[in-house]
Amino acid sequence: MSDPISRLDQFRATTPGAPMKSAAEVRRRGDQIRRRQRTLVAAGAAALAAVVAGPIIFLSAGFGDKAIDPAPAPSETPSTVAPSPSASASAPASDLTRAALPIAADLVADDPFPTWVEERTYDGEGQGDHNECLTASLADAGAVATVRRDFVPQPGDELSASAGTLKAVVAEFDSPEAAEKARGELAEAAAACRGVDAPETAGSLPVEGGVISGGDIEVVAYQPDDPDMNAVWEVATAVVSAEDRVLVMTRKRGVQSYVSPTDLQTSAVNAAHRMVGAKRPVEATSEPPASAPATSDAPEPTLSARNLLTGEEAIYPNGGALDWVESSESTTTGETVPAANACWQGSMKARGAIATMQRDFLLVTSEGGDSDADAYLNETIAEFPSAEEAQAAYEDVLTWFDGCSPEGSDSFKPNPFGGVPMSAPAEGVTGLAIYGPITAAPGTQYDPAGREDDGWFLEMGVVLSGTRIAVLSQLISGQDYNWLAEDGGTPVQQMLPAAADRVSSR
Amino acid sequence: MDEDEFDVFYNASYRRVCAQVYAMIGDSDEAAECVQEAFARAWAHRRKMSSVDYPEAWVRTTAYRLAVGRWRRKKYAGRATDRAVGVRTEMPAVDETHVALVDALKKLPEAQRQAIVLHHIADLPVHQVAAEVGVPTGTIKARLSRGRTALAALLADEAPGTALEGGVR
Repeated sequence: MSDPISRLDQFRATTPGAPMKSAAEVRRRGDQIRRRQRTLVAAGAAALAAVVAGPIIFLSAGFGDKAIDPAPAPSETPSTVAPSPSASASAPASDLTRAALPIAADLVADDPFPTWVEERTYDGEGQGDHNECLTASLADAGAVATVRRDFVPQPGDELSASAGTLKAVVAEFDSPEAAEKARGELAEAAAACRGVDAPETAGSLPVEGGVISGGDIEVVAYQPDDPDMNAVWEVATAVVSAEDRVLVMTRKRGVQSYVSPTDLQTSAVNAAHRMVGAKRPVEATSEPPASAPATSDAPEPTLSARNLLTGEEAIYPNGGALDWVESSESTTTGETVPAANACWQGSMKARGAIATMQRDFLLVTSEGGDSDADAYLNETIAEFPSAEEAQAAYEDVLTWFDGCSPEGSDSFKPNPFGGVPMSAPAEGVTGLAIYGPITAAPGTQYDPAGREDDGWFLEMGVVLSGTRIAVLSQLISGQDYNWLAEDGGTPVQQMLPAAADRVSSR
Repeated sequence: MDEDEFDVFYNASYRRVCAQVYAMIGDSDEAAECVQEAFARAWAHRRKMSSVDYPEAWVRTTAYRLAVGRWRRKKYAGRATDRAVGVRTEMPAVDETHVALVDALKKLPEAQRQAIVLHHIADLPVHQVAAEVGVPTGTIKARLSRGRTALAALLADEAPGTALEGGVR
């Protein structure tokens, strides 16, 4: 008998050669995929509430060709930011969100000044100038989307009045090259500071490290209009690029002498990493400021069963023949991968959740009460330490259809997530993916019944409410999934507002 | 992950992952295309990749799923496979001994083949194979044991002369 291990070792040692495309070619293909995904997300599918016509014949005619392909609607996913007005109509939609903005914990206060706290957050460049040195907007510089957050010193401190203000704007451009070009122009404008009278260059400092492509802090000073003011105005502008984004962080305060802006430098490095979702070097390289917001700001985990959808609220709106009910022992603290969702990617805990709960439902008939073994509904709710982390998790969940390939399926056809109106202070979207044929139940081998014309309809509903998210996963089998918008839409679309009310409740 | 980091990652891992996926699916052309597409997707999701512990495992899994999806589409629908990364890449002739091994691997059940490739060719420890496949380590050990036994029998059935010299003990 031949020894397979030596053959396998030899295979590994003499790996067969395979011609490679250049890394640049592969990156170009990746950029193409990314642009297409952005367009899909922005195209949104409020239209998904429309009809999904069937039947869908998977094998006989080619699954991918026959599955639904709703026309893109001109709506937006709520979590994305509107393109800048000056962006051309053909510019790719942006996936920039407020999660790209720095939070107070990213900012280092210059000793002995108090820590920074958030004052206001805007979609777009906000009201009023964020930087008086820059005479053109970021949209004018080519940004396709912008978000802004203003910070003020912690109120109540004796130095609060003299610590100034700090404003951060994050802009997204068409490409890393466009971002880098804009960074150079903005840095030059910040150094020249033509927006004020008689500016004097006070100093500059590089911003670099980690994901940062390029960055500088330019500091200028100018005389105040008020002759009684015993200081000069100082404007320190950090302009930093990373990937296709640019951060402009501006600190303005009155000073009597120049101090190198090393605090702003550290803050800008942290903010640049958050801007592109990279790990922040602050965790490894510097201690948090002594007066930084304590972790006690994070909410205590307060989730309870009342934050979950009830059996009464979980509906299957097909005229009353079927209904979702809570299964016995269906409510659990913690989380497992729901059978309802073959695209589930990892745990909420791994995304930073401090508490999670789940509830499973059974689909029963109004007559006999028997459950349908081929129908699954699960709600998972999670609480995060901050709204930013909840939003990041929410946005991550919206990517779960990407590359999903449920076991046993020949084809997987996702449709874009579309917004659902709701009354709670929350935002929510639903998305539908179709896969099949049904030769196997989830997690099992082939179904002897061989229902080759049927498919799985996986509908996800996702809610973001402050520091919490809710994920509804419904899996139904059949030949079609027909729900009319005028009747209220799909089951998950109809359940989502109640789920939002529940998860928002404190 | 910036451009330089991606380029280093791609250049260091591509051929290795190609070989692993080739061993899993038995088609070197298809393996190369799927691995390139998986790397492109990694670049498209580069922000997410920064928090992935094992980017190479992510690429390998994505490439394998792409390959399985293409194979199923071809099998059931008779359609041409997608050609996501440009035109089909022409592969050089593959080593005859590798072909024999890959042919034998193809005859194993998918789960055993995957375990053997990840453990013996990707050189992952059993617990990492278990994590990547999503089953307990005991299951992987059982699959490895059964797979090696079956593979040894398949390789013993090779026509004389096709085995590597020194490859048979």
